[in-house]
Amino acid sequence: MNQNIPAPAPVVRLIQELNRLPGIGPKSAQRLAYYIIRLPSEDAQALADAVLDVKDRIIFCSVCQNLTEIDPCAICSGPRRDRSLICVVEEPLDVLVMERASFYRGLYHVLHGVISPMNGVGPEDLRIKELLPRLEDGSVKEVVIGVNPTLEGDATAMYIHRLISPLGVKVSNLARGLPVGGHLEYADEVTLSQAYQGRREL
Amino acid sequence: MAASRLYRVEGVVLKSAPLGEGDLLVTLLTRDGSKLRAMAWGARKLTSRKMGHLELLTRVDLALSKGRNLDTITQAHSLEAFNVMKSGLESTAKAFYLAEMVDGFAIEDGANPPLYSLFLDALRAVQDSPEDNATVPHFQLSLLQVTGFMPELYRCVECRQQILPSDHRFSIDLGGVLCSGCVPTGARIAPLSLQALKVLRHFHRSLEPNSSSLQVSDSLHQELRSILDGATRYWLDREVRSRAFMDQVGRQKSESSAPRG
Ligand SMILES: [Zn+2]
Ligand SMILES: [Zn+2]
Repeated sequence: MNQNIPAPAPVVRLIQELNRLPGIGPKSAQRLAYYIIRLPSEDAQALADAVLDVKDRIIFCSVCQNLTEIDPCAICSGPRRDRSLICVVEEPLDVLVMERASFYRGLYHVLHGVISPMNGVGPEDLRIKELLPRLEDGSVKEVVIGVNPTLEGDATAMYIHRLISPLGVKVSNLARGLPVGGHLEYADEVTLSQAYQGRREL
Repeated sequence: MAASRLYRVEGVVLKSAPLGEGDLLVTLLTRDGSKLRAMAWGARKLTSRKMGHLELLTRVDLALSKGRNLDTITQAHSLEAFNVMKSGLESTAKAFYLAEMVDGFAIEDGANPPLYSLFLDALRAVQDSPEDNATVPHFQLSLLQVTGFMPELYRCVECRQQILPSDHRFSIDLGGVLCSGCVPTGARIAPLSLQALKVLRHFHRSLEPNSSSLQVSDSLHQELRSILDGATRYWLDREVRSRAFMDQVGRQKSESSAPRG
């Protein structure tokens, strides 16, 4: 291919739009764009429809901030859920993962990210303040913070803890430690020390 | 042949961006003070041996393999990690701020060993003495110094005369102190207290931020910050984004520790 001949304007535009998606670099964007160009019209239409449909019909649950078609969402309005427990997670995907494991019967609160100061993401850019009214009437006894155990996740957990601890609600963190199937020799220092602190009698 | 494509390096993780399915694009400040970007394939998977070792602000020993565009991290072993639960939110917010400035000033393929030891010293200082409010401004001045953007603190930037105490002003645009006789047009000039000038000179004489162990008053801290943040913004040509969070956490702290009633 001759590098000097630019791609037609609509192709360039598609590449630019794809490039804006998370995890899609310029090369991947180019590959996806040329894949889409080769799609039959019906398939391209279906893709475009799916994108628009999701924007039309999916809203944020006014209680837990998860994505939903109805407000409040099925979990928030579920009759069998334990309303004294809220698990705080980063992404809607994390709710699916927890639900699939099916040991947890409480409610959720979705932050839609973690505090990431170097990327300009502060607490006000997340759905943190929406958690506070949920804790006001005293029915919630415990908030379990289930964000990812990264430095930014830990900072977010600590920020939330500081924010809600004056309300007298118990705040806990998911236990840290060695992943099942992992090997001691490959564990990093922080994981190892947290696993040690969280040791249990056999 | 193949052996020459492999190398080892020590560095501190400045950025760690998720990419694709479970991969990480990692930016490090290496021991020689240059910036390195490298791929860690599969590092976000729970079974990865690299998981946890490439966390932000971790000092890590890496084995890499040279690639055509980006090098690949084949092994990672953490040597020292920044722990939020141990250090607290204030220290962590400061550490993010330091890292963002280092990321802004460091360059790829530009060796600068003093930058690495300065950064490590500052990270340890904010962890070990979180109450020391001079660490961050001291680091900022030292960072400007080791990267070649040191503001002039002794002679007038216009006429080169030695600055007399109490007869000085400061201009970020012109890069330092100004005597009262010089009136350059078009440059922003701000007053600078004698106390602030003395502290800046003190920072300049001792490069390591942990050697200052200086507690400055709130008003002096404000003045130092406005000058140093101004100079940092001027040379980076953008805001340091993590400053907002650092300020927010500081306010949250002072509000919760203030007597209620
Ligand atoms: Zn809901
Ligand atoms: Zn002068």
